[in-house]
Amino acid sequence: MTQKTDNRDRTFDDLTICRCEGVTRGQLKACIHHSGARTINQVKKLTRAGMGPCQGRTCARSVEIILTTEAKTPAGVEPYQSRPPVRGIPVSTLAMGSDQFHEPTGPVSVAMTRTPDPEIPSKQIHKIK
Amino acid sequence: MTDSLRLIKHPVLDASLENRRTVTISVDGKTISVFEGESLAAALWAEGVISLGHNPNTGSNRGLYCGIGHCYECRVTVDGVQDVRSCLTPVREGMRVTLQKAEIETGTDHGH
Amino acid sequence: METSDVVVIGAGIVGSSTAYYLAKAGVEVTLIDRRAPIAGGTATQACAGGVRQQGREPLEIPLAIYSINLWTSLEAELEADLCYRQDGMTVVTDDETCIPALEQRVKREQSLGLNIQLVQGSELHDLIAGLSPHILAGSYLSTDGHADPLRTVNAFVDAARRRGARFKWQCPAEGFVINNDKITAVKTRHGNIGCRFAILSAGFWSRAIAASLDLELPFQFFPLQMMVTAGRPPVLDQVLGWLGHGISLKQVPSGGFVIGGGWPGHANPQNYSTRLLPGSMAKSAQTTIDLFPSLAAVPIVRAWVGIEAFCEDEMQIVGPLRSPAGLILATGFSGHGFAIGPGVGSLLAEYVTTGQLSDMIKPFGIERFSKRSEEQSQ
Repeated sequence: MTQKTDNRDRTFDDLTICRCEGVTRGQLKACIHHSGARTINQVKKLTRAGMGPCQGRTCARSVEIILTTEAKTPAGVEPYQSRPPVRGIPVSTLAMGSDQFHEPTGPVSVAMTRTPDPEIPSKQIHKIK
Repeated sequence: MTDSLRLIKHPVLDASLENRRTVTISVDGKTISVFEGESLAAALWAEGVISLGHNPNTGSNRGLYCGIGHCYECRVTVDGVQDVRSCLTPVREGMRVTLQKAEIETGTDHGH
Repeated sequence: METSDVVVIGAGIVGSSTAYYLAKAGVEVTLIDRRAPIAGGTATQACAGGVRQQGREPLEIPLAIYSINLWTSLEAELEADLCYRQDGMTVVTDDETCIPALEQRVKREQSLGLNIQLVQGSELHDLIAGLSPHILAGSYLSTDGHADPLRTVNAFVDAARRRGARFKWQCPAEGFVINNDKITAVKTRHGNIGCRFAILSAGFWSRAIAASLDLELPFQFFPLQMMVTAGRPPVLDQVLGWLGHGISLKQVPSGGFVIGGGWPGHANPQNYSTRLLPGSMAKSAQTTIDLFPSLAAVPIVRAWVGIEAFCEDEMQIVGPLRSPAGLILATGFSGHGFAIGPGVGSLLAEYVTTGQLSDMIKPFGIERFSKRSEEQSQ
């Protein structure tokens, strides 16, 4: 038989909210109160909640609710910025057929990666106009 | 095979093992026999392999959770490919499965 | 009317660091932003997090050295985890014909005080395991590194707050009040803020604010795309760049590989909306495998775009204007403002409190553009 636990004195700050990244309710509260995070995206960027393998599928709603109760602001004001790709894509899969894309012809040329000597040919570099 | 952990009777789906072929897979080098048509997660669970790895941040055990490919808790390495969702992967003859070991190493700072 | 000795416009890396160093010096400062820190779509967002001294215009290197020195104690000073690692950076080449030029840059940077070395062949491959075998040589600087831009901005804002700085979010700057050719207030959508100094550090959006003074900031915006992989056990300590190719590669403490390299995406600076360019993802992915083959099987979990402001000469515009007095520009960092953000903030605070402008900042005044066009028209 399972023992009944008395939850009256628990703060639940040790509850794991973002399971992938191991972010607890206490850590989320600290982010909201000490760092002044007011949107779900700020919380994500500062705690890593929502950045793990499931990309916030499990925790986003819980984080929103904690944000609303702790920050007393409507969390739904700014939607969770879900980023492409929908699911992880291996680098090699993304790279397939890369030479068939017409745009871009190359990266924006930046000083660091530009070959130092203008006489030496650079591959596929866009000079900033 | 550990039949006691395997679902063999279901009111709607045909879960009986009578006409099911067996398939041999290896898990961390150990060969086991499972049934064709099972998901890898179900097959591992039936064989008593409940922990499929560890959470790299907390070190706690992880395993089958949502069962529908949503949560990534069931991820294992299959034939060298990491992060395969075992709940969505049917077993295949000769499949080589590696369970991810605890990934907490010195030098990675997970303290946030 | 609300007043503040200094108003800093734009809470990115430069604005937040400037607000902090001013507050630390006891100056009354208000930091304002159209939205809120780390809101997304901006240069801070596009930032790959590199904290480097090498590969910069020679005029920038003293500032970079000064700033990296601040970085080494920044986490302690801001009492925050910035995920800062100083484990080195190497810019490599697989092209024999590039090696002499690489060597030349190394020598030039050594003369400017950097302990940078050319490393070749097996020595290079021993130094950095996992490099593609066709990589021949690289410029290695052990004091370069990387950090987390979002946490850094947040830490500067927090530390500034603890030292008395004030903030106004969702508060776009719209212009300035000028009396006798001197700034007396910043105009915002929510009222004017009287001030002695205004510091314009609003990235690409500085352009529109400067236009209210008929001041043209000669930059354009580039939306740059970034990608990050799923976490893996640590295999790469250094930051990698590749001459002639679009890639910056680093593995961050949480295990993911952050991949940049100047690949363009789509963005609208009016509403911060961004869209990925699939061709950039594909080519960036191919470049990644060409440089570091073991990443082929690792999944990309996120890609995003941020708007960077590039000056025509790819150097930032920093310094006080002569007219109107009191306006200080600190913008247009052309994709390399993160490492020097703390340095710029610190030196601008010094200017505000002492009236002395550091030699490390002087090369970046906006006057260089009119000098150049004068020279060209002669």
